[in-house]
Amino acid sequence: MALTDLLLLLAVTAGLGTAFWFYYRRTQVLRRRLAEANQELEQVQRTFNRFAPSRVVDTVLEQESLDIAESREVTMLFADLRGFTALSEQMEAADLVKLLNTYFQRMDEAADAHSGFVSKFIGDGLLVLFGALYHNPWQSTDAVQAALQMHREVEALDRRLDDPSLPALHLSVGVHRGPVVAGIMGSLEVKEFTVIGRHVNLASRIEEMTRTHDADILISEAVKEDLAPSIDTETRPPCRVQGMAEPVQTYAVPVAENAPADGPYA
Amino acid sequence: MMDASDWDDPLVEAHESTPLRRTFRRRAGLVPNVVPYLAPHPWLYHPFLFLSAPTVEHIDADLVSAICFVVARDNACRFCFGTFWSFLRMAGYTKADLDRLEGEMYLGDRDPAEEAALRLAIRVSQGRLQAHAGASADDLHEQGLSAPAIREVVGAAVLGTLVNRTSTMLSAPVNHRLEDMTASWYFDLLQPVVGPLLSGWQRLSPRVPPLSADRVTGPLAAWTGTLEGTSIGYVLQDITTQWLHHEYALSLRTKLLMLAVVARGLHAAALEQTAYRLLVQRTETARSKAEAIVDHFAGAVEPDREAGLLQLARAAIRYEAGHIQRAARRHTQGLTRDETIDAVASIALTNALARLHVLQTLDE
Repeated sequence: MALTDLLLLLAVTAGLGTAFWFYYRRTQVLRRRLAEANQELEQVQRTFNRFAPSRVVDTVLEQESLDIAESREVTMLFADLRGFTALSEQMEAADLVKLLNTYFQRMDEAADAHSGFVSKFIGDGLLVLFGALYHNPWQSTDAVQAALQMHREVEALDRRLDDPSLPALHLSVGVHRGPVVAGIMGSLEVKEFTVIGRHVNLASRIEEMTRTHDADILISEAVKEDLAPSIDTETRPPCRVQGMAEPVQTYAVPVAENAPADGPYA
Repeated sequence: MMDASDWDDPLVEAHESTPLRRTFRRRAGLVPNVVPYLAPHPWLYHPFLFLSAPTVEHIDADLVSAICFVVARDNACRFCFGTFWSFLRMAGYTKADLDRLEGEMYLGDRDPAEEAALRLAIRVSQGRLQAHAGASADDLHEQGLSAPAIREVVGAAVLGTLVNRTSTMLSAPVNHRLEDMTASWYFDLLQPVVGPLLSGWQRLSPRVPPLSADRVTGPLAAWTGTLEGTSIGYVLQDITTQWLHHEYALSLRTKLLMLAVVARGLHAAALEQTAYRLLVQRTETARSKAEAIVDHFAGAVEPDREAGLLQLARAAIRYEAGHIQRAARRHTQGLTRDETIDAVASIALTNALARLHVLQTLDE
């Protein structure tokens, strides 16, 4: 082989090698950018899911209409963070927002871990729905398990504050189930997926009754009827509630007696 | 391409099976990465083998891959997404075609029947099986889908869901080599050769016959029989018979309890009742006890093991990849490899069977 042929072969090889190297680098960069874009997209989707869960989006797409409403058996969990208003007067705004965001994140995770969906944050409280997005025959136990986890999370947050001069944080939870209308509601500009009906109001009242009944978690008769027998409850006296003809029977769910176990519902 | 960073390591160790590899190579022309994780289970590989080279009677074969692709996308199954993306690339679809399929639900020219089929498939995979949850049979006919085509679309969706659940629970490893190859610029040059070669090879391999009326047997015939006249029905009938009659690693009782849990979760009441009847007849479990177990996941003979597997069955009904993978890891701890794969197979199959309920509600 002549020297010129050898040089030509070397030049071609070097050219091909350089071309492949550039192609490989370009592929790597593209792949990294795609992965980053995907992560951003997933974050956007997670945020968007708060306003319109994917199941609702699919129904909207299939029916080509925002007029989505159906009657469903739903379990509603109302939670309120006691002590937060007093705390907010003693903390720096930045620290307060950080604390509140951590609290909401943990409540959201507790709801999600038990097939719940946070419908809305109401001040420092929240409404979580079980069985609103899809059929959930285990919704009563799911809701109470979520309430127990939320309690443990707030206790952990309170311990983390570790300042005796600050008021203690405490969570009160009311759980009730019944038929409601679930759907997309709101103005033309702002819409959300939520539920309406007298049972929603009763669930909210039951949360308020935790104060008079000295309970952390209070559930209605309808929830108790379908609750896993392994969860301990204590009967509370029936109580008159505005808008209800009959006194409302409730049950307290003691947090200490229902410590997490390694059981099937843990 | 979907991000693989959240995808777990495989749930079980690989088990090489040369005969199974040979079966896939002979029938489909390629061996998916999941195969070593399915062996030596007696039937779990069947749906994967079928979908690698589908035999269909009433719809286009590419539509089956498209259905499995959108179901994988919707369910965030990283393994299935990449696999069916690559299959469609090999069938000759461009990256732009597949982007359009992901976003706008059509593959080639915009076709209302195809779009309706893909939306029906997603509805089935999401478990929205009740009459009010979507288009009725009449609506689907109007959009151009015949009754046998609807059956085949639902069949492809349930088989796709079975494969999704299996791959997710097992955390089947993503085939980066196949994906990179089909995503590369030079594949566009190779495809005109590779595509026809592969499809020709698959056409030469033995076809799965359609499910005939005389083969629709067994206590779950009312469900498998909904796919009569389709090859997908043949596969589902075959594996359902094996599932019911052979105790590979899990007891029939545990498997039937899984069926009851999944049927309950998907609101398939008749199937749930059938599961209770079979539990009483074949495993001598009292009906009240079976119902209590399904109600509260308590009262099982081996609480930790059986109740845990029922919790996994419940977790796998609605799709959240991370949630299912965490539940799979947690509830299969202490199980042998065979038991783990049998649990995954049973949960995936019961999810497929219960979703056939949609064919009963479409006419309502």
